[in-house]
Amino acid sequence: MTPETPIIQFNQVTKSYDASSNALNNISFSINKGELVFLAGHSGAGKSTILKLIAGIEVASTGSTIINGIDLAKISQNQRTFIRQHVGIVFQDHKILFDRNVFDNVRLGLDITGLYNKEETIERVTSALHAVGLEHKIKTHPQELSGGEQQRLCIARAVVHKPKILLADEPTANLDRENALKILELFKAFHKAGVTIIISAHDETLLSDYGKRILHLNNGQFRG
Amino acid sequence: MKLLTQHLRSFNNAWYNILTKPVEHFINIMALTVIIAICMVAIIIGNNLSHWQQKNILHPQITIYLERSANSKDIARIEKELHKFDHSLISNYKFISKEQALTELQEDKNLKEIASDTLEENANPLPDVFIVETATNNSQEIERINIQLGQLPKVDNSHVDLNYAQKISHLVKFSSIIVQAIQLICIVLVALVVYNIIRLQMLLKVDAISVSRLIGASDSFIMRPLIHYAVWQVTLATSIAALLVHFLDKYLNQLLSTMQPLFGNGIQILPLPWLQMLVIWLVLTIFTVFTVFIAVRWVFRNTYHI
Repeated sequence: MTPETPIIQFNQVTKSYDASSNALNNISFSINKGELVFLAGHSGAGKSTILKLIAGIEVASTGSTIINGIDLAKISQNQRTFIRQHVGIVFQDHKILFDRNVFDNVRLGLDITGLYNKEETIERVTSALHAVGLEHKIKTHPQELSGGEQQRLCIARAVVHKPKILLADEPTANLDRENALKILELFKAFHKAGVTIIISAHDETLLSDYGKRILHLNNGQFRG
Repeated sequence: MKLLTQHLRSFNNAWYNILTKPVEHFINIMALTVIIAICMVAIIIGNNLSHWQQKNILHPQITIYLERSANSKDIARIEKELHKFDHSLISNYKFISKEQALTELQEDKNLKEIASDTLEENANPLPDVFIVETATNNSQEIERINIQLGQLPKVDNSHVDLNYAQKISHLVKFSSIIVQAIQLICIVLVALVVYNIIRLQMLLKVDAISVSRLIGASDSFIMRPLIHYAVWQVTLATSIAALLVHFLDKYLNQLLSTMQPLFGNGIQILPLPWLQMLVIWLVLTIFTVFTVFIAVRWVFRNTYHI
């Protein structure tokens, strides 16, 4: 696959949760391998829906969502789950597990793949925590972490298995500007390593400095 | 190798969970133990009834009472006649002389008084007897043999209680149906308890499961630890139930051995064979795995939508 080959393709995708309105309305776009793309738009514009469709958490009502050459509508729910093992997801609400420490939270991302032994797991988790600057909090419980640290922990879990695609849903939403920029710098570093990254954000002032493609969404359709 | 590692991890987690929270698991394991023990007791009853039937009344016995004037030559002639019968009709016979019968009567505590009266009269009123074990359940055949034996010279009469044998046979059959029903009920109860254990476990770990699903955990990844958790609890309960039933059997046999003189015959409750215990464990394990599968599917359908 050349760098210009689309790794994500949306063809006339519509997604509706109920009969009265569409979360996405007949949208088409493609994202190339290794690209960093921002999804911008107000709350309810459809940013999270696009990310959920890419991750296979949701399925398009009409149209096709092709990820790495696989049409997600044509595979089973369990197969879509396996697709997610090659995708890293950073959630807006972190989705951190408070019944385990930082190490075990990150380790979950590796455990689900079942590909790594104990030594590899320790090495990868330590490396991911080092990348987000949390290596000194390895035994700490998440409730002792700040909002920014919790977000970084979520990023570490998303990248620990070295995914081809990294999705981040409003990763800077609950952070101050300084912390938000630090998080975006982290994504920039992963992008340099060749990971395809899609970040959704409603604060476009943060995104404009990066000179990357921004897809503007408004009521389930692309603007401009 | 990958699968083995995951099973090993699930095994460790299951035991860690059970051992670090023994009080939490005590009620579950005890409930399972009671149900499995009842199932084992039912099987023991079934086994013993069937053993007793086979040993005692598999085929009706014919009792031949000889005339008091019968001598050893007559007895030898009757034995010769019995030998002539095909093995498919008569499997065995036993001769009880009038002297032997009297001795047994004297040894019997309950019948001692009658025996002493007999001794006082200095006469043995008992006849010589042949106990003939038939080898068929065909009532017409048995009746024919009975008539044939009754017509032999020096035979006072011959007696067969076909009705009694049939009644016992029906009773044993009915009992085995009851035992099978109890086994089935126990399996259903174990499945229900396991179902509830898994449902509660999944609801307790709702966050971990939903996050795991979101980041790509497959059904088997979520199901595996729950299967281990349930299977090892059932295994633990089966082991405790087996021990309880074993000691109960031992205790009852000790009690029965003290009562032996009352019955004259040795009565013993046969224990549950190890192979049968293994089969019970295997059946319960299969049902447990199946139940976990159903429970996980149910919780997924009603709680998670990924």
